[in-house]
Order: sequence, then C-alpha cells, then structure tokens
Amino acid sequence: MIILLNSLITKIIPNKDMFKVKKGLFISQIVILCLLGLAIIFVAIPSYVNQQWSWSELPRVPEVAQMRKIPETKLNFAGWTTVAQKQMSINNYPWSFQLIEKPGENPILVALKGQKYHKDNPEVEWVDLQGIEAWKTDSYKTLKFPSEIKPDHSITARWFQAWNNKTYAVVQWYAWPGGGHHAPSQWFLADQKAQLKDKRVPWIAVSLKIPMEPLGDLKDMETLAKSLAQEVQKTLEKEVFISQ
Amino acid sequence: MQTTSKISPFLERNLGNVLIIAFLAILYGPVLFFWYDGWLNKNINIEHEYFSHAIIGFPYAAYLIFARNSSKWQKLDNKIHPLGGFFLALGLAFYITGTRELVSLSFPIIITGVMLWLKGIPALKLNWFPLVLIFLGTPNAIPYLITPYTLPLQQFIAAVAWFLLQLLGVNTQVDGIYLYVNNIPVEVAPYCAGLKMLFTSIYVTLLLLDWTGHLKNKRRVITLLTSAVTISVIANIIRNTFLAVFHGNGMDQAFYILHDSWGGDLYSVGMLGTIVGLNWLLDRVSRNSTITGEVSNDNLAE
Repeated sequence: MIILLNSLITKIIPNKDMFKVKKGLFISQIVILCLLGLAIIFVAIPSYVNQQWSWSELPRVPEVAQMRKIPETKLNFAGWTTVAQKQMSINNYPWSFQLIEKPGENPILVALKGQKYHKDNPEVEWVDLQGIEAWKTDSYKTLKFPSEIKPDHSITARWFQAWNNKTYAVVQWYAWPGGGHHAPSQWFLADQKAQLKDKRVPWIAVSLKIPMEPLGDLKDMETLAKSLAQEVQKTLEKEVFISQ
Repeated sequence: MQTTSKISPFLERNLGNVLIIAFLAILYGPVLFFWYDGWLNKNINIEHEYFSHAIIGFPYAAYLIFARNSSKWQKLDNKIHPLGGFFLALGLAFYITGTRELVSLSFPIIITGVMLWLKGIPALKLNWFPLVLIFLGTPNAIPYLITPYTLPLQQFIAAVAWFLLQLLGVNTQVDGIYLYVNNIPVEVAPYCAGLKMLFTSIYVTLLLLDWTGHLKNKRRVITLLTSAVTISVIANIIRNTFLAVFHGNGMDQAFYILHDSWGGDLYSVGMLGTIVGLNWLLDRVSRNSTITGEVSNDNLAE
C-alpha cells in the first residue's frame, strides 16, 4: 500500500525530469535550439555562404570624399567675408583654420576638422585645440541652436571663455547632418543608431573663436555666437555633408 | 532505444547541451575568430586591444564551465527561469542587428540567458566567475567613451613624471598634459593614461586569485586588487617618464621600442610578473604566520 502511494506521489509531483523529452534532451533545451536555429538560418548561414559578416567591417561614410577637402577649402558663410584660410596640422591630422569677418568688427577664427576616414571617431579635439592655443579657460556653459535640416532638433555646443594674451568667447561642437553635440558619446549614439540601418554619421569638429573684451560678459556674446554657429552648421550641412 | 544506443553514451546523455554548444559555435565561431585575429595581429583598432586579456580569459572561463563546474552543473535542478528567456531574446535581437557593438554584446548576454533558462539562479551562482571573465573580455566601446574623461589622470601622470625627473636632476617643465624634456614636448595622450594596463592587471589578478584558490578569501582579493591597481599606475608613470626622457634626448629607437614595439609588451609582462610575485609572497607570509600560530598553539598545549 505504502509502496503504491509512493509511486503515485512521484507520478503527480513534478520532479526535475518533468520536462524531459528523452534521455539527455529537455524541452527547455529545445526552446533554446529553436531560437538559436532561427539566428543560424536567417543570419549565420547567409553570412557563411557569402563569406561576409556585417560586423567585420564598419559601413563606409560616403561623405568622407567631400570632408577630405575641408583643409584646403574656403567655405562661404552668408553675411561673412573670408580674410584668410590655411591648413593646420594638429596631432598629424589636418584642420582648416579660416578667418572670417564682418565690416568694422574683429575677425573670428573658424577651425574645422573633418572626418578623413570612415574609422576615425571624434576623440579629444577640444583638448588638442586648447594645447595648441595655450588657453586658460573659464565659465563653461552650453549653447543651444537649431540645425538647418532638422529645425526642431537643437544642437548643444560647449560655450566658454578662453584667454592667452587675448580673450575669446569659444563655441565648440561636433557637427553632423541634422544634429550636433560637443560630447563624442552623443555622436557615438547617433552613429550606432545609423549603423542599425547600415549607415554612418559623418562628423566635423567645429571651433569658433570670437574675440571679446578681457573683462566682458560671455552673455553679451551669445546672440552673435548663436547666429554664427547656426550659419556654420547650415553651411556644413549644405556644402560638406554631401555624398558623391 | 536501438537507434540511440549507437551514438556514444556521452552524446546520448548530453544531447541537448552538445547541440546548444554546437549552435553557439556556429553563431559565434566567426566572431571569436575575428576577435582573436584582432588581438594577435592588432588589426581592428586600439579599443579592441583593451580586451586582449581575453586571449587567456576566454579559454580559462571555458575550462571553469566545462571542466571544473560541470559535475556541479549536472546536479542542479532543471528549472526554467523566465529572466533567461528575456536574456536570450535580447541577445538574439542584438545578434540579428549585425552591428559590431551589439553583436559583441550579444555573446555574454546569450551565454547568461542559456544558463538562466536551463537551471535558473543557481546556475549564475555556480558560474558567476567565468561569466564575469566573459563579460570583461568582450570588446566594447567603453575605452573609447571614457577617453574624454581621462584628462585628470593624464595631468596627474605628467605631474608625477615631472616630479620624478626633477628628483633625478633632469631639466623638465610640465604644462597640463605636456612634459618638456630639454624643451621638447611629449604629450601624455589619453591612450597613454595606462587604462589598458590597468584593465589587464585587474583581469589577470582575477585569474590569478581563482587559479591560486583565493577567490573566496575576501582579504586577499581586496589586498591583491588594490596592489594590482597601485602597481599598474606606478608602472605606467615610470613608463611615461622614460618615454619623455627618450624623446627629449633624441633617443628615437629606444622611444619606439618602449612606445610601439616589444618593449611595451615586455614592460607589461614584467608588471604582471610583479603581481604574480606579490601573490606568491603573500602566500608565504600567511603560511609562515599560520605555522607560527600552530607552533605557539603547540607550546600552549604543552
């Protein structure tokens, strides 16, 4: 009687072999095999057949050809005239230094570093520039302005005061089509999103150096800085971020 | 039963697990090959090399999972944990995107998912250490994302290197991240901040702690990890000091060897050797103290 009851209990109560299909194979394992099998059929097998894995090479950046011309190009910024433009090498990477002005005002330096190769990422451009300029800096804030392509998307730039023997108001950001931010991580996120569609986000480091009164208030420079930053972004979007 | 008995008994007993491993090998074989090729031939990018410690970390994790922990694994109850299903789905979604970052991340996520799905939380308790090794060895963008934030570390290294050189009577100036030896500047760049060395030494310390059976000895874990961090920071400052001297004195060959060539690798090996030596030393000290402890106990007994 007791033996019978015992065998009944073991039949009713689920034990650890409840999900066993046959020796050495459980339902839980079959579920995993089905899931992994789907990835094998739809992703792995085509890749094995074509000998091409999407992750082995980053997608190309078609805008690179145009961006490579930046160091020797005078860009036209509406409402500004170019005084001079020359190529500068910072850490073995070519930059464009373009001096622009409005009549009767101090010239402003627009420094641009465009992506030269699809594997180049924005890194420490702001530190590099500070090193070259031997700046002391202060009053870090951010400046927001819209992009031309996506007017509802605001770009966030660094905005601060810098001085060596003169004093400047400085705006810096990484520009990309329809957006921009001073932090490389923000570019990285945008680029990752683009990669989901097998695309990339090209980038240009932009630094605007606006002369100001040594004891002047950064606030007084904001309107000028915003309008120029917006103009630079617009020019880059129209003339440089174009694929060939 | 006639048909199954023809397959080897091991296969028969472990059919499900063997198939899962085979499927994972089909999915991740090319990824792992790509990673190893990148570590051995340095042909992907500098961020990828931050994870080169996985060259030994992955095989060691495999040894722990398939050899050391396998009999304990067999004894765990087959309990499905829903979180495992979540991890599996997430990992597969990442894998299907085909982008490098997400495919890489999917590797540890899927392995965690498989373990949780098959055996529940006890599986994680059993295999937490190899899983940590796999997670820390999987290439990701963190080294890239932290470069803008290493500036204070770079300045610290430059300042200490300057101080060392002053002590040695070398003509030096320091300005932020720039060191000037004989007025020739050397930049302590973000990738000179020694984070790769730091990551490697922490990883190797974890391997060493497990290998020598000290992973459950909390005091040893803390002592050795803090020492490893300290050693790697000091070693890196000394390396940067040498580089500045080589550069400032036009010793380009020496600079190249220590900066880009075998000198750097040898230097890292030397540093890791120091950590291994320290662990050995701690073993000897603690053994001696237990022996003295026993001796004094014996004396008391007499």
